[in-house]
Amino acid sequence: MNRTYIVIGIIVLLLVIGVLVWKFGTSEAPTVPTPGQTLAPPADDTTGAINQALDGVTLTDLNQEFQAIDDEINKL
Amino acid sequence: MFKNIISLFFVFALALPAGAQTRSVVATSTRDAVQQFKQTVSSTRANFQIMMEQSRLQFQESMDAARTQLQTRLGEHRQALQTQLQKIRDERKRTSVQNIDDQMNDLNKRRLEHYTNVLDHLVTVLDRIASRADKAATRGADISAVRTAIDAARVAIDAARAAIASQTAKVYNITISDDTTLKNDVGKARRALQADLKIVHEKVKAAYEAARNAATTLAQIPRVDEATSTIPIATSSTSTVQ
Repeated sequence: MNRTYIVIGIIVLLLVIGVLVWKFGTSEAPTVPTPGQTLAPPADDTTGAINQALDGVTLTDLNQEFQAIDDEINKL
Repeated sequence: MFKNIISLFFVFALALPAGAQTRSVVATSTRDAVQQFKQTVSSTRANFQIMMEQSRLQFQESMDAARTQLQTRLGEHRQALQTQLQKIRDERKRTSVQNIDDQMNDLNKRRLEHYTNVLDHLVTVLDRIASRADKAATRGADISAVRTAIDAARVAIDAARAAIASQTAKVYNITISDDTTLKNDVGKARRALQADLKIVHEKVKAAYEAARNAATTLAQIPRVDEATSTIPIATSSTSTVQ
């Protein structure tokens, strides 16, 4: 009789573990973005505004940046 | 009865790994679905944003690693410089070399910040290009050339970011022989810094030109500015560059 209870106990325990493993395991899977998801509005996206934004990009002269260092080196 | 218990253990021992395997299959199929989504997503802008988000995260990781590496290297570098400075008898020159070394480290940092800002700005511009391209596509315009140009710009931005991360971890050791060769010794380190920054500069310039090309390609679509949006709008905001 005692053995029957032990067997039932083990079955219940394993079932609980199985359910927990399944539930928490699958919840770790990444979520899939849906094609219908919405996007934040961009800034003005007319070609004029885009060109203006590109014109505003300045890559400052690299050589000029070394001027102060060169002045110091020349004093050595 | 014991046989029954042992049998049950075997059954569950087999069932649990099978469940784990099923979970693994679910996770794999989810990843596949993400990949498929990326490939089939119809919005140029959504696709661009997904790719740029991945790129941004990767860049952030690289920069974190580079900054940690730089801290270690700077400690060693300062110690090595003190040893080198002992070869100079003139106190004024010693101070000068120390100043030059500081200025070189500052310049490297400042330039890389400048390049990072430029690339961030280019990302926002490309986002606008992708948005306008989507609007043109809803009118039936062929935007395949714009998509290709945006992809090329994205690749160029990634390459420039990788160069920035690599340059971030660099320090320039000054090896001094004696007072007489000091100018040349310091000059070597200065030239090395300039050569390395030039490489990064060229990559950022290439990214800019690729973005410009995407804008030009977009502008070639007839009546592109007339198209209006049919894309749903959310409440989150895009990043801006100072």
